[in-house]
Amino acid sequence: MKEIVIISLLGIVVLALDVLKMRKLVLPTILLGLLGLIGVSIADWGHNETPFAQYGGMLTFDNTALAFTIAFATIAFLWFVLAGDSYTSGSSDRTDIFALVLFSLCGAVVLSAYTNLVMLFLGVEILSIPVYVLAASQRKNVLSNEAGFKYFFLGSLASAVLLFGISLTYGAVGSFNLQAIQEHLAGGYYSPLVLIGTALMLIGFSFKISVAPFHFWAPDVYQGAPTPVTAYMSTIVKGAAFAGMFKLFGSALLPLPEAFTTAMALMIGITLIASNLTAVVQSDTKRMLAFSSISHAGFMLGFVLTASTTSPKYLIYYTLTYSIASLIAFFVIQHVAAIQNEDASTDAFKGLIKRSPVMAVSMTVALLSMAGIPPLSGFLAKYYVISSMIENEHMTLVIIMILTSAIGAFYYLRVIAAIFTPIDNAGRIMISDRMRRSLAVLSVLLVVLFFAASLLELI
Amino acid sequence: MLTLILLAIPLFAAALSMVAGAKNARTLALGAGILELIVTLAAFFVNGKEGSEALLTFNREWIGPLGISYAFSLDGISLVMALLVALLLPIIIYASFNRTFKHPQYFYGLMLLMAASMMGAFTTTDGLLFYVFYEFALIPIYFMILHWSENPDKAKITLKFFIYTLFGSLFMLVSLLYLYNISGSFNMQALYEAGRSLSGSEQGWVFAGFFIAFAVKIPVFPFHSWQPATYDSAPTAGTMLLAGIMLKMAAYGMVRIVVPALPEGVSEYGTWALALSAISVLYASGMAIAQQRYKLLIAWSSIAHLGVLSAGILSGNAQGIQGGIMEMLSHGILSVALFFVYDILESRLHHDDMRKMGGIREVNPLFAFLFFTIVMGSVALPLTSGFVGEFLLLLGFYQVSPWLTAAAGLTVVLGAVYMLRAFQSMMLGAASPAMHSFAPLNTHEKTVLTILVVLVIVLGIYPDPILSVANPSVESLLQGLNR
Repeated sequence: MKEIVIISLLGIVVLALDVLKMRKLVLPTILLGLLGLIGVSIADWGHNETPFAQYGGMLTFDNTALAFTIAFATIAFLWFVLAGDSYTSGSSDRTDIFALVLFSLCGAVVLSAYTNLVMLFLGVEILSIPVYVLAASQRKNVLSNEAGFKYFFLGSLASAVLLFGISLTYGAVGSFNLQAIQEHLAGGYYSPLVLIGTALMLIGFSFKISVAPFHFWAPDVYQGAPTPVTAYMSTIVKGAAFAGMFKLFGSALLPLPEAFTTAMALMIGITLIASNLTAVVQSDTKRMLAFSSISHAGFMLGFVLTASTTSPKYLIYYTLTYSIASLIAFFVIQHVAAIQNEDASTDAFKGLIKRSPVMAVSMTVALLSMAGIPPLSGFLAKYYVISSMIENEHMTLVIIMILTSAIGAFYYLRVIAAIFTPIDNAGRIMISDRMRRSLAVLSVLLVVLFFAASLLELI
Repeated sequence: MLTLILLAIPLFAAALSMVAGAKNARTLALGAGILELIVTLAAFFVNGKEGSEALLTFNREWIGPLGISYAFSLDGISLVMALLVALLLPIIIYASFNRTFKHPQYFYGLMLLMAASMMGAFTTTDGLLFYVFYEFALIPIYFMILHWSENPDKAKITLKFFIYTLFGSLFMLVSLLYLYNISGSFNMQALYEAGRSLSGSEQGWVFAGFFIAFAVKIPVFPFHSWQPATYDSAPTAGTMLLAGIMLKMAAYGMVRIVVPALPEGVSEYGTWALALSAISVLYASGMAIAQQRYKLLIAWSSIAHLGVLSAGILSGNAQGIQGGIMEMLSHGILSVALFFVYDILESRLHHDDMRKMGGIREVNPLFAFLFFTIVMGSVALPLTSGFVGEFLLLLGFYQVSPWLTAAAGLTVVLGAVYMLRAFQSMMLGAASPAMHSFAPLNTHEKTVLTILVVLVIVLGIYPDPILSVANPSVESLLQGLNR
């Protein structure tokens, strides 16, 4: 519970700092607050705290929830460090945007800890509504407005579908509580109401995590939204939606009828094939990364599919490593595009190794990690998915994953090749020392997480 | 402990080289290479002595609950492979001294990094770690070609090379995971037991996964199409690393994992793999004969020789595997030598079109003599290192399939055709005016060529030290397989 309080208060304090004209303090306050959030989560470790138990247990901060919270707080911390440069220091916009991100982060924490379908819905909404605003936050840019609109309409439709599914499930079970639902379904009998309810919830979530065939909004929104917001969407928003989904489909709704596992397997297959094939023909790196993000969602859905035998810690690992790589990639794109008329095409990366070695090397590391090349943590993340798929004998999907990984390497390497292609009269791209240091730390983190993967077993 | 040192030297030197800057990069790299060789020879010396176990093995948990560990061991087979790396690394580094590279600190740093990952792959006893090293070796060579190649098409060529090999190795990952799913551990012994407990057809599938991975890397027809262009466009040191050492990781993988873990898969379903290897030999020899350019000829001849290698190993008997180990060492030395010859030609003539050469012997008899010895090694003449390996390989292969052996055995005949023809058109005849200016070998070139030639002859006359080190390990590897 302390986690939720801290994060909400932090958002309010940030807004207050803006009113009090103490804008210089905004970023340090946020970073300190997030460190506090991580500290409190670590202190709560193993307590299984359930606040308001008398209301039927809305939230439970068990170790999994805390681990997700820590992961999201870490990613948010890194996001703020990198985004510090993206907005003019001392502007009011910057504070608004940062406050919105904090509020949205609150939704992510709720989604990691909910034990009640009402909280699930609240979490999804708290997570999404600030992001609708964020996507449209470049008010004078048509593409950004389009992204905001698209995301808002389709996102709220998805929320409505999800809510409908929740209500149908409630109608059949008579409770919102996850445990009650699980007990109701323990016999393996899914009443028609629950079947429809589950199907609708699956669809609602599929929108949020952007897997095929509910992914069409993602490329436009990712490309149109301001790049820092895209980075936020592809990391925390996606990760939180997965945290919520894993909890629902990995415990409460078990045993899942075969129709659902088949549907999920089909979705994974279609997602991987469609997103990777489409990514190959993209010339804009931001859009390419949007498709890559969809492809990674396909991989992550593999954890949900095998949730009954897989521990959520592997999903956390995947989220963390993908997020770090994704943060690097999107922020590098932002800085590269910023100095050449917002051109984020692959050609814009030519000669980057000369123009900014730090950005070039960290981008290379990030892309190789996404491609799943050892010894980068992205490899272990993929390894965990494929391993659990083999354990559950989804061999067809394993083959698809492998084929699409090779396709993935193709479009990641294209950018890397451009980075290392020499060009004439390349001017240096100046970035701040903080940016340079953070990019270096993030790249090293991708290697460290590989070798320190045994830390995961603490969860 | 020694295994860790073997891994640490190139890693540390690579890091040092990238930090220290361009000035002393190549001296540093050469020093690291020589140190690596000394440590490897020390390991050879210790091997078989009492209490050597603690020195030659290392085992520490990495991800405990998943059965993944930092496990390394230098048994006889690994020792020979470590020797292959440690012997060729300083030679390759020294051989590239007569060229200047832009950013030498990164060039030599990447070389050392690659050596470290190959050393890791050859010495680890953990399946996943093997995969990690096997895969990681791609990264340095990818950047070496991308940054230091002079071919304008290098971006395309490296991309094809990378995707091809990545694609293959992912199949190996699936096969490994399939075995792991039964064993619960990536320890080699556990993987062997898991593999042997599978039914014949399951073994066949797992074998197929491994074979695709290794066949791409070796390469075996029809997975070879990345190879000639990649060899051709890589800087010569990169080609030497690729042909001399890196491909051996795949052959080593067959020895270390496939043959002991999947005996039925290999014997029942391996026939098509053997057939592919035999086709590979014939096809590549044919292609080699048709080449006009020396470097491409060597690239194709490499495919031909490695076809025999893969066929011999997959016969799964002691002769085949011993021959394989010997051939890996010998082919490593010979391909470094052949590509060094290319480097010498290229540095003087700026082309490698064999039709435009001729009569170099008249101008430079020493070079022609050294080259001739290398050619003899390459066509597996008795008393050269090439003979020992290929003879044992064909002997092993013969026990499984005499007919295919007859086809694969043509490699020796066809090899003689294209190698001697190449020698003839390059070295013999009357020297054309263009060849009169062919500069004599400098000390540095003489040293490298002489070392290589001596190695070819010494290993041909007295291969026993290598064979006797590898032998006990080969036998223990094949123990419990009813052959």
